[in-house]
Amino acid sequence: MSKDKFQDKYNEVFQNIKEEKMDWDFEDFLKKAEGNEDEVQNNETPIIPIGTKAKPLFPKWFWMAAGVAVLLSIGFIFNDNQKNGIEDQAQLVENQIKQQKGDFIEENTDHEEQVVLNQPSDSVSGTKKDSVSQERTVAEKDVMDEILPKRGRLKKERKPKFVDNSPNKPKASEAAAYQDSYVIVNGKRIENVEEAINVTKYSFQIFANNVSEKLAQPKVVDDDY
Amino acid sequence: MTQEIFKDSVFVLKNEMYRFAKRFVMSSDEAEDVVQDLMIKFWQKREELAQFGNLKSYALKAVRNECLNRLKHHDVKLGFADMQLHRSELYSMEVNNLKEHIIGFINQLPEKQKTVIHLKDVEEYEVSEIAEMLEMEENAVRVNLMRARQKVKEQISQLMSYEQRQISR
Repeated sequence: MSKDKFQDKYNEVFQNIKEEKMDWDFEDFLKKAEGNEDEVQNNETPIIPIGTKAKPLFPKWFWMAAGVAVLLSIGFIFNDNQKNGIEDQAQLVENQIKQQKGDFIEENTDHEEQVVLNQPSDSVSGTKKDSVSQERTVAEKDVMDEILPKRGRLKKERKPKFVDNSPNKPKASEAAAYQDSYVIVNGKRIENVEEAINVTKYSFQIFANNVSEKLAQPKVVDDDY
Repeated sequence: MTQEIFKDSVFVLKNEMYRFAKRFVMSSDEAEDVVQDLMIKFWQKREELAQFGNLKSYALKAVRNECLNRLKHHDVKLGFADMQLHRSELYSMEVNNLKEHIIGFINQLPEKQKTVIHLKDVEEYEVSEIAEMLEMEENAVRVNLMRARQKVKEQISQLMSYEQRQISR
């Protein structure tokens, strides 16, 4: 088989392909095209109701607005509650301080005996019965204030310290209390009953001896004079 | 664009479009469908068509895109497979029809080779025109054309030798 034969066959095939034609008149095409255009137009007419889509949009906006309103109200309520809570807490703390202060004043009624060493201004207003704040604001005039520069003075500011100024003396409650668990004889604390009796007997014995001695001596002296 | 102008400038391309569509969709009916759809689209946009300089090139590009879109479609794919089966059965029955065999073989070529060989050897476009139409390098067009021709010629030679053997028996 020669190469030309291939080429001929090749050309023949492609010539056949080239001769393929579509059987379609322009008139048919126009009819189809116009029909299609009509269809498009007919299809467009029922599409018009799409314009009424605006109506269903209203509930959407309505719900959105309602949602925003609910969120805002929740936020407002929460914020308000929080504020009230803070105020309540502040009130509670102030009451507690006042109560403690009242207790403190009741416990320490002896104003003359108490002194405050360094007194800052009292932030809690209210009860001012305290001797510390009313009668003796500052126990001793701080000489250091005049000597130290301002910066040094700032460092000195501390919480007030309360001290008891009176000499050691037994409290009334302690003195009044009677305890039967021991006795004090000649300054000695004795808890055993028998020992206490013995000690007492011994003491009386010594006392009796001394008394006899003391009574005898003046006689002798009197005798001398 | 008037009817006459449309007929002379766009509608005359129908045969070319049809042949080109047949390279992709395999069935004449499907190819006719593609051309009719495209023609109606062109008619609807006839005012805009005037803007395109090379209408022939534009129309063939549109055919190619439309055919590829259809092939992508699942149903068309199934239809394509059925058609292939149907054709292979048909070919086995009509063993003597060499021309149909070769056309079938051309249609089975890779897409680029098939397009190039059709545009060059059927529609007789220049390589530069094909390159522009398919957005390819001219060298790439030449390479694809060469490979496609080689394959078709091999196929022709095989079929002819087979025929010879059948006759000599």
